[in-house]
Amino acid sequence: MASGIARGRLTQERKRWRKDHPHSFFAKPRKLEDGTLDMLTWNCGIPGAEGSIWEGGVFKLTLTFGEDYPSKPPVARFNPPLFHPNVYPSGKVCLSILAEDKGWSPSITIKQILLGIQTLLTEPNIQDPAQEAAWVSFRDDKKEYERVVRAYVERLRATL
Amino acid sequence: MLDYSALAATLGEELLQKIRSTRVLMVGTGGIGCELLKNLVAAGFANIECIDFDAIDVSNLNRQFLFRKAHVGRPKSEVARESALRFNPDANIVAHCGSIFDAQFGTAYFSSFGLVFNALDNLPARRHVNRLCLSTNTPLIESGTAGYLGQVTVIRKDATECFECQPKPTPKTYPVCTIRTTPSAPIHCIVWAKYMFAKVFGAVDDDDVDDDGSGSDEGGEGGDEEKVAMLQAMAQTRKSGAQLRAMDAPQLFDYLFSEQIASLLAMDVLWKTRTPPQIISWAEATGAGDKEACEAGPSAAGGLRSQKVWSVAEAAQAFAASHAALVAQYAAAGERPLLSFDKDAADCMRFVTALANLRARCFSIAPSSEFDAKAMAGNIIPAIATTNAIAAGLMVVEAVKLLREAADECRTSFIMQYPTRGRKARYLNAGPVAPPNPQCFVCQAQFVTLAINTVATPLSFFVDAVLRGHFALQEPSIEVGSAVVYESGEGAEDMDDQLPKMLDAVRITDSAHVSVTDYLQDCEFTFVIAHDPGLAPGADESDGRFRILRADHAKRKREDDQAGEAKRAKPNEEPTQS
Repeated sequence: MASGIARGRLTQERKRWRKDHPHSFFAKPRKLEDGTLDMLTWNCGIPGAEGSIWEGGVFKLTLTFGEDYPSKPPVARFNPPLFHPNVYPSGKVCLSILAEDKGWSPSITIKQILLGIQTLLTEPNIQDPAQEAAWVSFRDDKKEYERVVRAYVERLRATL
Repeated sequence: MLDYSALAATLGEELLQKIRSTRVLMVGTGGIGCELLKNLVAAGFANIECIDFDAIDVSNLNRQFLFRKAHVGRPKSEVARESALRFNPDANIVAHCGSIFDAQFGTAYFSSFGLVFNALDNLPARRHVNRLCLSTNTPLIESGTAGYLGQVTVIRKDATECFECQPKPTPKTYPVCTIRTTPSAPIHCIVWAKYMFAKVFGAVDDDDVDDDGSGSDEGGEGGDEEKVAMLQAMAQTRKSGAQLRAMDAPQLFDYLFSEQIASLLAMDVLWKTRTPPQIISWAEATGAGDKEACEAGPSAAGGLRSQKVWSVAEAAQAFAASHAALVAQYAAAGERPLLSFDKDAADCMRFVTALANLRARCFSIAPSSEFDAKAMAGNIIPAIATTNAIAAGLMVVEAVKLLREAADECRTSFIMQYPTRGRKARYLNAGPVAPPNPQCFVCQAQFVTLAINTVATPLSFFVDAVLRGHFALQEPSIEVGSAVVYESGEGAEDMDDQLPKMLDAVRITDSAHVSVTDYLQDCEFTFVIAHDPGLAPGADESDGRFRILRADHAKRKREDDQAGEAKRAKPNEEPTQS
C-alpha cells in the first residue's frame, strides 16, 4: 500500500488533471486486471509541439511513482522508446526536473512534467546524452536526424 | 433610492461599510429568497449573487412578491434581481439561472463570498451547500419554513452544528400491503388513488408493480398468515391497466369499491383486529337518496369549493366526470397516450381525490377535501408568506451579527405555530447555536466504520445507496491503497464496468481502508470496512444492507492509534525493566 503522503498527493494530481489539462495530452492511472486503476503508474500521451518535427504524433510514456513520491521524482519512460538524444534505449527520459539531485522539487506537478518533456522533444539537451544513435545524429547531421524523426512520426500516424 | 444616512445612523458607519462591501451568495430565490433579497438590499448589502434554476409559475405569485403575473415563465433569479434593483439601483446583483450542483459553483466560487444564505426547499441542495461552505470555511445562514413553522440558524465550521450534524427525516414511504389492503390514514388512500390513476391512464407496467409490492413488505406488522391473505386478496382481483381502461365509469367504480372490497372482506384474518371495510356500489352511491346532491354536483356552498369535503354522492359524481375527461384526454393523446399525474391538472386531481375519498369511506377513514388531497398527493406543505418573511428577516439579523464579528451572539430561531406555554408566551423562540456533533461524518468525523456484506454486495450498491444516498456525495471517487476502485464526474475514467462486481472483487474487503473523495464538494473521508455476512444482500430496504458502526474525528482517530501503538509497545518494554 502506498504511503498516505504519496497516495494523497496523487489523488490531488488526478483531481487537478481532471479539472484542467493541456490540449491533446492525456494522463491516467493504468488499468489493472481487476478493473481498478493503479495510482502509482500513469499512462500518458504527449503530443508533438505544433510547427516542430514532432508535430502530428502523440508519444506514449508511463510515469512510475514510488512510495517516496513526491520527495523523490517519478520515472518517465517512453513506450516504445524514442529516437531522441535524451531518451535512454530503455525509453527512460533524462531531464533535469526528473532528477532528484538536480531540478526535481516536490511542488512540480504532473502537468509540468509532461509539458517539460514536450519541450525537451523539440529542444534536446546536447550536454546530457542518453542514447548514442540519436545523439550522434543530432550533433553531426541535423538533416538526417530530422528525417528519421519525421519518418517515425509518419509511421506512428499511419498506425493510429 | 436607498437612504444610506438612515442605515448609517442605525448600524454605524463602519458596519454599514462592511455590509456594503461583503460579497454574499444566496441560494434560492423562491419563497424565502424573494423576501431575503429584498431585505438584503434594504439593509445595504450591495454585492449579491443569487442562484435559482427554476422559472416563475403562477402558483408562486401569492407569496413570492418580487414576481408579477407578467413574469410567469421567466427565470426566478433574473426577475428577482430586476425587482430588487428597483429598491436600490446602486446594488451589484448577479443572477445565475442554474443548478447549485453545477461544477462552476464549486469551492473556488464559494470561497469568493463572505457569507452564504440558504433559501432552499430541498434536502439534497441544502446538504450540498452545507458541504461547500464547510470546505471553504464560509459562514452559512440556513433557513427553512413549513407552513406556520420556521427555523433560522448559523453554521460555522468547527464552531457550530452543521446542517448534517443531526439526522434529517427522509420522505416517508408506506408498506405496499397497507396501501393495497389495509389503509388506515387519508394519505394511504391518496397514495392508492395515485397508483390507480397511473395504472389506468399512466405508465405503470401492470403486473410488475403488484409483484414488487408483495416483495417489499418490510413494514407489514402482521404475521405470515396475514401476509398470505393479503397476497391472495391482491392476486384474486388483479386486472391489467388495459382491462381497467376498457371499463366505463360505473363498471370501474364497482370493480374498485365493490368487487375489490368484497374480496378483501372475505379474508377474515385481516379483520380480526381491524374494522372491516364497507362496500360502496355505484347504484348505491348515485341512488335516490342522494339524487339531489348528485345532480347539483360538488357544491360551493359553505366556503371555498376546493376545501369542501364531498359526500359519497358528490365523490361519485366527481369520479364520473373526471373519468370521462381523462378518457377523452387519453384518446386524444395519440400514439403514446400515457398521462402522468399532475397535481395542478384539474381532472387529474379531481379523479385522485374522488378515488381517495371513496376508498376512505370504504375503510371508515375521514375523507379529505380536494385542497388537502392536493397537498398530500403533491407532497406539498402549504407555504405561508408571513413565515417566510419572518425567516428572511431573522437571516439578515444573523448576518449582521456575523459581520460585526459577534458570532457568539448568533442564535438558532424557531418560528412556532402556537405560543410556548408559561408566563412569557412566545411565537418566536431563540436559543444558542448547538456545537458540532462529534459523530457527524460531514463536519467532524472523517473515519467511518461501515458494516457491510462484502461478498454479496455489488459496488453499485456502495456507490448509489451508501455514498450517493446515505452520504449525499455527488461525484465520489473511491480508492483502496494505491488503487482507484471507482471514479465519477467530469474527466473521470469510465469505470461503470466495475459497478456490478462484488465489493471483495474490487479490494473492498474486511478491514480495508477505503478513501472516498468528492471532487465537487471537496470533501474526503475514510471508511473502515467491517465485513458482516449477516447483512442480507436481498433486502429491499437499503438500511438493512449496511450499518454505520462508528464515526471518528480524524484527529482523535490518530491519537487513538498512537495510544494503541504505545500500548502494544509496552509489553516488549516490560521484560527489560524486570
